[in-house]
Amino acid sequence: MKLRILLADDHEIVRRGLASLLIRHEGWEICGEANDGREAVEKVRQLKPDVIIIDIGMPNLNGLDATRRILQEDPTAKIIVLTVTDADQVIREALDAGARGFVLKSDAARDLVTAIEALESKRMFFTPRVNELLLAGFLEKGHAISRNHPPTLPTLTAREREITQLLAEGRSSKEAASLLNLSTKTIETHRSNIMRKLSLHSIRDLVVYAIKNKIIQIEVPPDSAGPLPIPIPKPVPSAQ
Amino acid sequence: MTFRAAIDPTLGKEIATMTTRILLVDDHPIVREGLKTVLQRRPGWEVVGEASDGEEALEKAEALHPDVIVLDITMPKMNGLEVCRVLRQNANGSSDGEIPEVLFVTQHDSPQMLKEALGVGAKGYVVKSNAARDLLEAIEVVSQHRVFTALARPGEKPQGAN
Repeated sequence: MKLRILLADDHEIVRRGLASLLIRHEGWEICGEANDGREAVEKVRQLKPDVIIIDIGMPNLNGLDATRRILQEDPTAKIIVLTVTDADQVIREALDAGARGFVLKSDAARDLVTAIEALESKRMFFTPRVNELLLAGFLEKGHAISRNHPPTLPTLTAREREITQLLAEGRSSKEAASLLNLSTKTIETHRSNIMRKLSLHSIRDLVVYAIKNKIIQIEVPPDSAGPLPIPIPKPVPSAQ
Repeated sequence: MTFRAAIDPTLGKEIATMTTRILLVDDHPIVREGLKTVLQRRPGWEVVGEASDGEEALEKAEALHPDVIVLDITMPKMNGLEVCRVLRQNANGSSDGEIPEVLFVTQHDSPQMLKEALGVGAKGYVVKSNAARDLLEAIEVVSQHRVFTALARPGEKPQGAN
């Protein structure tokens, strides 16, 4: 029986690279690919892969929220998150979401095979920075970073985070509603709840919140090119 | 474009085939791997080298004389725009050999960045999210010293014209 791997990354060129790397390993196969988090959740349902490689920065539904969603439906799913940064907050969120592996994209060519092998033998794989954090947590509190560390921000529900991402990406309530098979009114109710919870006053604030909290990611241009503008989302009809 | 004598086994005589020699520059090995996988589909194209930052790119360009450099923009040490600028400057100072054409493959889906890229002398601009789709055509066009640009924004079509 081959180990069946699902690849989720919004860049096909990255999926080609990952696939080329992984299929060289005996006994492994790519059973499917997904372009964004929502497709990843869907493909996991259909294909029941043994291992899921999931990029954090993806449109529509980011990798962390997709990870949460997948594990909600199947707590035994084995997920390795791919990330461009090992900033502490991202590590914490990935661990909290239930990922069993954490690999930096820049190191993927080196670390990903090791990470999957670790999962195969029921171990976990983290970058050195994650291990440091885990160890620090262990020494400080006498146990590893737990699932109930105090939240630094008001907690949004999975649905609210999902809607936050769609709105911050510039979608209207109507577009978000059609993507999620909900009514526009429901989206608008969620939207005002989100704004109230986070004490935000405009969609502009929501975009900034989404960027700060890595719900969406923006490109950082090189110095010589000057700053790129943050995309200004389309105005969303008021819920009031 | 390099002309190389080759034997056509069916005819048993020498014919001229064209090889496009390509240098791949990106700081993520996994992206280079993906680019290579896509490029392998085209017989006659050869990846002659790889580099993971701007300085290495300049060194390899000088040593390997590629026809096309597939260049990332955001990279450590020296970004791709800078690399392209230096390549053009060096070319102006010397008359020997052909100057490699530069094709940017970048995550920046931005008209300003595209303008800047063409401004420093690149012939091609492809957005990473569409690279798997656009790369082959872009290299084809750029290797003939023509311009190929394609942003990923809705409604934008690849521009393969001069």
